[in-house]
Amino acid sequence: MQNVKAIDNLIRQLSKLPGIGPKTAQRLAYRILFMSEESVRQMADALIEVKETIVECEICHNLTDIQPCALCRDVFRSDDILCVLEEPKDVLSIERSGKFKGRYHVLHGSISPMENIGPKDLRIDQLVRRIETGHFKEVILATNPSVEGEATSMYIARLLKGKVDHISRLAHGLPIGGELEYADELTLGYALEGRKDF
Amino acid sequence: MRLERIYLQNFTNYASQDCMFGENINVFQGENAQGKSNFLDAIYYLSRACSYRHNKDKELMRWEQPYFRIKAIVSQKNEKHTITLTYHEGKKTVLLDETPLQSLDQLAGTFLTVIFSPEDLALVKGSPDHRRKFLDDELIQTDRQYARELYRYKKIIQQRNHVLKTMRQRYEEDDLLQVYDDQLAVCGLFILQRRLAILDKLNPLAAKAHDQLTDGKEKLSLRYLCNLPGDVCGLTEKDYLKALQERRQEDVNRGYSTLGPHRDDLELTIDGHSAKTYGSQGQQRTVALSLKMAEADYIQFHEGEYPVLLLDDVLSELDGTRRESLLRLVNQNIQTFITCTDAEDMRSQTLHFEEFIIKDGKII
Ligand SMILES: Nc1ncnc2c1ncn2[C@@H]1O[C@H](COP(=O)(O)OP(=O)(O)OP(=O)(O)O)[C@@H](O)[C@H]1O
Ligand SMILES: [Mg+2]
Ligand SMILES: [Zn+2]
Repeated sequence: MQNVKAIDNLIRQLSKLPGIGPKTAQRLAYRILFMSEESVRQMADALIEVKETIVECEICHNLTDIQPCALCRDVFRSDDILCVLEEPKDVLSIERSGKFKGRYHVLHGSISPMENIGPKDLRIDQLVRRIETGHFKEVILATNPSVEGEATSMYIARLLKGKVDHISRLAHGLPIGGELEYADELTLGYALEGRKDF
Repeated sequence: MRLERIYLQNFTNYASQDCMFGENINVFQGENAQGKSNFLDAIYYLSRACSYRHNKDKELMRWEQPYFRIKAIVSQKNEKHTITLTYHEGKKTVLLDETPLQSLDQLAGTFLTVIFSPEDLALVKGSPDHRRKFLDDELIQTDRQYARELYRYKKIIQQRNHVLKTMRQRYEEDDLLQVYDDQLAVCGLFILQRRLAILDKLNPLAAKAHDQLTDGKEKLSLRYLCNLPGDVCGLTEKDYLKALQERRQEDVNRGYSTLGPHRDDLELTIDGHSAKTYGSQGQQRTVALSLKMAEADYIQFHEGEYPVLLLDDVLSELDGTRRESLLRLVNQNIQTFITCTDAEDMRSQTLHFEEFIIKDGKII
């Protein structure tokens, strides 16, 4: 084939994605190659579009296409209570449980010095400022129950001490070492209701 | 536990080998480099999905072959199970009773083995991590919560060491170290308490095994050496935190965590004298063997059934009396696999055993 260079390039690009090894990338590349031109164009546009339109919400740091995001704009949500999460996908998990009607704050990761992720690499300063300037009565630290997630919560709890009345931690109905993403709605609901003071 | 039948495909130097075993002592006899230890490794692999002498699974594939498979029928409290372990394209899969398992640790407890091989001399002669690993291995096999907490503990230490090493200049260092100290105190105390508890059970078992192996001539004793200050038995989280606090500066200077169960040791003494410092070669080997026999006894106590015992090249290293005592010891309802180059030593005893001659990756 003449254009193997282009295929190689596509394979290289695809294998940048997490969970995609060289073999899968190759299979996907050939799949794309045999799709209609229109479908390929739609896919390419979708890739560009997320990059161009999705931004971090300036208040909660969740991903959004309007600034501030819909959850921050929602006037029916309570400004008394704030739920702190590691990743944007965790917001979806909590929303699905239907048990939480407050505001969110997304950290974009957890503290892991091994991977060179320190407190400064997360949205922790922004969180502290938000607490200092807002009127929150309770902060729920809903990081993952992993070593890193717990360390992150404990670190934040130290920073927020005296700045807010209640700091609580998700109760561990959650599987140890697990991730919020995989917790089912019921477990998450219980975890939210049974949260403990720090 | 019993291994009733095993079928090896492309495992080390075995191309294809099917074999059935006796209930008690099974002897693999053969010249050097024929595959005796490899066979024990296959049995070991069934219990933990890893080898006892190779770090990489791919080294277990017969040269030039794309996969290996070990299939076995085992019995646990008279219930039969089949285990099929396959390694193919860098992936391990396990079938238990023909059903695929989601993760390898679901296999835990189905088939338990205790192995004793020449390398185990390191239990006595080697660095403290061999002895810690000995305690941890038993706990991991019998206590899921321990396995989880040990994993967490190691992770916390790794993270903390990174802070000590690389983030020294950052201003949030102190707050972050405090967080890891808080985590360590809880997790480390748990590890410590479980280790002390299992040692309480192992100590008399090891002493008994050693007494039998040496015909009552030597008294073996184990003692946990904890590097946290004060009395380990009454240690609280608060004491633990205080000790970490006091050690903080030194940890920062050295760039790693110097305090806690990851630096503990086990002291082994024969009649009050350190086996590591004063023991003869044969004595040290016997001590290591006593520890392994204690492990088997502990599993029996915990699971209600003896594990399968794998003894690689043990007989040649022991004198006649110790050899005889060992065979007497295993000949009580423990299925045992022994490798040797010459079964003459065994024939001299009035002992029933099944014999398998191994030659060039085949049982003949
Ligand atoms: N992946 C493999 N493929 C083919 N052969 C292998 C593989 N791994 C090891 N072997 C061979 O298996 C042979 C037997 O090894 P093993 O350690 O089982 O011998 P042994 O019978 O225990 O001998 P000894 O009495 O010296 O301990 C070795 O000579 C080695 O070359
Ligand atoms: Mg050998
Ligand atoms: Zn928002």
